[in-house]
Amino acid sequence: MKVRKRKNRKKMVYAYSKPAPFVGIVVVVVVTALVYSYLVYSCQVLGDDIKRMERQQIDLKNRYVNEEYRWTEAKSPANIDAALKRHNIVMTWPTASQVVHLNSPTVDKHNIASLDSTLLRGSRLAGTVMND
Amino acid sequence: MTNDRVILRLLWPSVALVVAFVGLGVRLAFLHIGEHESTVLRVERRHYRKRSVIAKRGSIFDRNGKKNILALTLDAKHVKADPKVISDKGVVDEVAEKLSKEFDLPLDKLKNGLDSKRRYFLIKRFVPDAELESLYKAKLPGVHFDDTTIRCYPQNELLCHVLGFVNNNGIGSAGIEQRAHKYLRGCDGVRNSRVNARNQELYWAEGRDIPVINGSDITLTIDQNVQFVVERALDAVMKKHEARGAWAIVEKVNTGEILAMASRPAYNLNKFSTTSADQRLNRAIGYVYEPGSTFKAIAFSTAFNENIVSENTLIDCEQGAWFHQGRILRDSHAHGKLTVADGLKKSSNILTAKVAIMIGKNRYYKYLKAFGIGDRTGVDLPGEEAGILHNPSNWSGISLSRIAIGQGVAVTALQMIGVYCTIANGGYLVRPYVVKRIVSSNGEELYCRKADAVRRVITEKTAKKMRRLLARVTEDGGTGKRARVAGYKVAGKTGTAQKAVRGGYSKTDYIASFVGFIPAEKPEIAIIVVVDTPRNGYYGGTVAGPVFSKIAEQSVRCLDIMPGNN
Repeated sequence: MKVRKRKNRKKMVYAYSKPAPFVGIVVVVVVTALVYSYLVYSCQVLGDDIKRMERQQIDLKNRYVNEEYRWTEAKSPANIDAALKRHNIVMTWPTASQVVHLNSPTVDKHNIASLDSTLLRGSRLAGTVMND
Repeated sequence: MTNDRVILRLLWPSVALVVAFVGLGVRLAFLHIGEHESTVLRVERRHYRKRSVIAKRGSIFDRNGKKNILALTLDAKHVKADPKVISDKGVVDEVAEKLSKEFDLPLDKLKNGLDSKRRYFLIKRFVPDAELESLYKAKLPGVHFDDTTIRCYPQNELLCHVLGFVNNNGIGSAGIEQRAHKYLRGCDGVRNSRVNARNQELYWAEGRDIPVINGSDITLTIDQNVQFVVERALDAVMKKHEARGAWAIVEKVNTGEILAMASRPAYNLNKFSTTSADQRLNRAIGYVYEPGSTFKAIAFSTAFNENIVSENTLIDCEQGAWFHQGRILRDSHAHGKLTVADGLKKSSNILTAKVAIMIGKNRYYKYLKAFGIGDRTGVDLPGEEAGILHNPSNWSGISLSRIAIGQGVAVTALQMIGVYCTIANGGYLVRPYVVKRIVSSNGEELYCRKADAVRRVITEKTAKKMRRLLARVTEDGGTGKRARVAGYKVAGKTGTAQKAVRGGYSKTDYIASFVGFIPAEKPEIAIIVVVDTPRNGYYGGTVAGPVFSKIAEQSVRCLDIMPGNN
């Protein structure tokens, strides 16, 4: 059997509908405020990121310069000389007869260099620099 | 609940609220009325941070550019402490021990300094950032760091006299550091930024920013490897001959580019404050000496250029002693008649003096000036001397004959090598230089040096003749045999000069020198070696000649110079 629901006539409903434009304005204001807050927050996060990265960049630059200094110091002629002495390696300049000079306008400098290094490798004289 | 109680419960908070608002209102009124400007300023000051950004001094490279760094700037810190904070926290011992261990400082001194109520105590200045990592991690209370930079020279002693150094105030005080300070120094920047309550910089509220301009980078004409070769050769000769000093220059004859310039004694650029003025003197440009026989080349060049003699002209060398103007002039070896060519080869004083007399003092003086004697060369280094060359009107009766053999005149090594470069390049006096290029921190080229011919001094024909005759000096029978280089023909001249002392010349102290160029047929580089007061031998040929040979032999390999006859 179908039960009919009776309306409660004593219940008082205190409500009134607002006009549509007003609701629209409120919604727009709220959305704008939310978007603004979101943007401010995003900008702050981005700003922090940029700050962090700037600091990181400075740190990396400093580290690079420090490493560059160490590397330059390590490969300075005086250090290489000392290292050779430390390991009892005696380097000698090739004698005049072992030096091959190529002087031809048809051979460019690049080819001379590669040819020279090939010859040096062949004669086991590669890398002879700064010695007596 | 009675009505009274409800009223009472509402009343008290209301009163409290009213009192609070009235208080705030009063405070607000006080803040805005009266001295509110100073208050605003104080608040602003708290919210803004002004920070100077230190410009990095430019780097210095050798002729191969960034591959070979000769000077660079590293970030560093001044380490300081706030003793009050440290002593209040009762950690004086721990902090002092850590700092003492870190910087190798006396523990007692540190403890005394830190155990006080002062607010400032300097621990160490100019500590490179790389050495502070463990200290950063330790986070010691009351220890602070001030930003600064430190100038470093990774090659230590190498090229010390040319590079110079930067003093503790960041001002270039010698060498290139001094001469090119305005390019190297850069310009500090300023950063005005807004900070929050925790003193953190706010990115979105950044204020004025004056950007930092880092210093420009300088590329020199110096070749690091040739420089090392030269310095090692000088160290060896200093040791072997117990010399008081030694200096050498390697220069490109056609352009005036200085490939190496070294002077002994030397010093470590990273410890410049502990060196003496004598060590800091760049003798290659700042020490004048009587050149002796190396100076004869000028008299011969002049005579040939003016067609006064030919190389085959015979001149009597008076068997080694010539009485002229009441004074005796001697040769180191007795000769009879010699051709002019042989006179140069055997370095005859008498023959050279006679040639100079044939030239005449005014004409000879004109050539001396044309060769740049008595004037600064204009090299881009501070501290260059002009040498001594008196006006002919002040010359005595024997001056002409003595100046021709390198007495009564004083030169720098740079002037002397200039004379030989002139002969080697076909007769042009070229201005020597060290700075090749200056590039700003944003990559813009500010300066690029080109070869600068000052004037033509002698003709190409004379220069060619002189090159041929100077090459005979290193042949058998010449004074410069020990300057030879296997596979190459060397042209040059030895010089042995007694040192001038008060009232005459020293009997024991000499200046031995050799100056020449290689290859003799097609010269590429000129080299001068000067040794001051050598012991165990004093002749230019025996003391300076071998050093020249050693430097030339290795320089031609480093610079890939082929023999001239090839």
